[in-house]
Amino acid sequence: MSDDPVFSALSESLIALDEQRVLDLTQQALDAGAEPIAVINDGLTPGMDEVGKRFESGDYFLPELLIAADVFKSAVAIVKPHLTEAVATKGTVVLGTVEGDIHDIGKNIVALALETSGYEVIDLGIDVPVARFAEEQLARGAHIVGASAMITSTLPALRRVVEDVKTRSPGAKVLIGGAPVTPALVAEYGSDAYAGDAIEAVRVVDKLLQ
Amino acid sequence: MKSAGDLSSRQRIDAVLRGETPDRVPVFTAGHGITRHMLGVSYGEMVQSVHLMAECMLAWQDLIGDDRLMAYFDMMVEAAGFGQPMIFQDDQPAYSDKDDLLIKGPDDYLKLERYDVEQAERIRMTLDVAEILFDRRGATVPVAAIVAEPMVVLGLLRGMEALLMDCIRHPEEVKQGLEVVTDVVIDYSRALVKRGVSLIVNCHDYGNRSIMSEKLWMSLQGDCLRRLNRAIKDTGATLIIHNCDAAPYIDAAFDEIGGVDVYQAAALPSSCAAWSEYKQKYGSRAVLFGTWWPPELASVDAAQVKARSKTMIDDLGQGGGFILGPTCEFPSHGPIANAKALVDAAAEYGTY
Repeated sequence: MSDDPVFSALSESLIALDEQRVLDLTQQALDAGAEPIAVINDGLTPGMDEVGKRFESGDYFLPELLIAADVFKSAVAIVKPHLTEAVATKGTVVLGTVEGDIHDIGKNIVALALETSGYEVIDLGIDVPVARFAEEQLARGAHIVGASAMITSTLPALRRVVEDVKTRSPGAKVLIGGAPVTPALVAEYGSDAYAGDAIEAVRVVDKLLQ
Repeated sequence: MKSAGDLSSRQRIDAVLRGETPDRVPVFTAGHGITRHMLGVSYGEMVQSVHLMAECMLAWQDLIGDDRLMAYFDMMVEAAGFGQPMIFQDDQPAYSDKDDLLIKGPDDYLKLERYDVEQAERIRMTLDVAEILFDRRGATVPVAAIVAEPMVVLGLLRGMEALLMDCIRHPEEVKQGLEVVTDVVIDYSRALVKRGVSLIVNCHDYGNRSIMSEKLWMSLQGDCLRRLNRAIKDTGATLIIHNCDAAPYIDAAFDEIGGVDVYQAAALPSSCAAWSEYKQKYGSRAVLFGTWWPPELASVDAAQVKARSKTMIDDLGQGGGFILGPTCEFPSHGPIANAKALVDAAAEYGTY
């Protein structure tokens, strides 16, 4: 947490899910002449990091995580017009739910967590054809492909996504997840990593890009 | 020792529910989507036809020997009754049209109105399936049906992410919506029992650590679930609680909500390290239904199903109180032979 009382208050308000106070403090910090990038990096991001920690420790759950990410994005939207240069991203992740599968909440939460952690996310949505993951990864120069399968019947499509990406773009890293997906499938399918939830996904992506 | 097959499925289930040992361990395969293969129809065709749904289920029971029949289309029926547009798929269950959700903002929870379940098309279709199954086979095989947790219905009307945020931002509106949905689910449960359904399954999809805190879940929905369970029990039906995710709030289900006859959880509660420990801890409170993880049922062969089922029967079936089956729906694209292997294992290794 920042030593600056304004940024510290911003972090604490985000952790407390005090939406209006986060937005007010963001505006106040900008009005007072704070560096816009510092508002994000020293005020909002540490708050979001703590929310992620609380989610992992079981003190926060999906509703809290979703609200924190939603408020974070609203606050960043206030800051963005004041930024003089683009915020550097930590990397680009192509994300989608595999073909035949229309479940999106898990994938959406992973996308939110990655975005609020500084990644650019290309969300391909649900029921994404196998070939499109590799196509988008190549077209965008993305570092990571994240593929989700939420039902057993779409596990074969998940395997094909991994194989397709690895064949067409051997340097790309592939992260898999979803209800029927287990860590054991990483080796079986030839992917690089597994994540059981959104916060783990951020940690795994951080590690893959080290 | 009794011989497997001495009892009808109904007698077998009744014995287990009375705390007695039947002729053998009963089996619920929880096959639903997979039953479309019985008549070679698509998922979409099956779930839009009373005739096809009933015939698929009867043919499945003929082939597999499942100890129950299911009168069930999908989790959408209660939501559809509120007017939620649905999208049908050829090869997967129907789902809410996310571009046209009925609840678009917090105020819309207050606009929900209790409706006449007998006039709601998809509920009426389910009731018709129940009636056919009961008329054709109810004397020997119990008919089950699934009713949605009220919060699941709201999630289908609002979208799950928006609902989860509303639970904290607009709890009073959510609560009012839950009350109306609970009224509908109670009416639906009563109508099912009138058509011969004797096993009502209620899915606690939101009552686990993967979704929300136990405190929030109970504060929003505890009263509704107590009311729902009481109403189901008052019909004389058996209440099966299913929980679909990690670390289910089982103590809340047993102690604070109550009325549970059979418990089927997709994952162990955090208080137990193994299903055998679960059986010791909770086995006297409700019959255990499980404990096959569905993805495994789709990935092993029939011989492995039989071998692992034997282990489950040895560990969990002693003295009764156990129904062999998956911890959620049997994989809709899984090997049919593996469903048969569950019943074969119960007949071969599960005789009391």
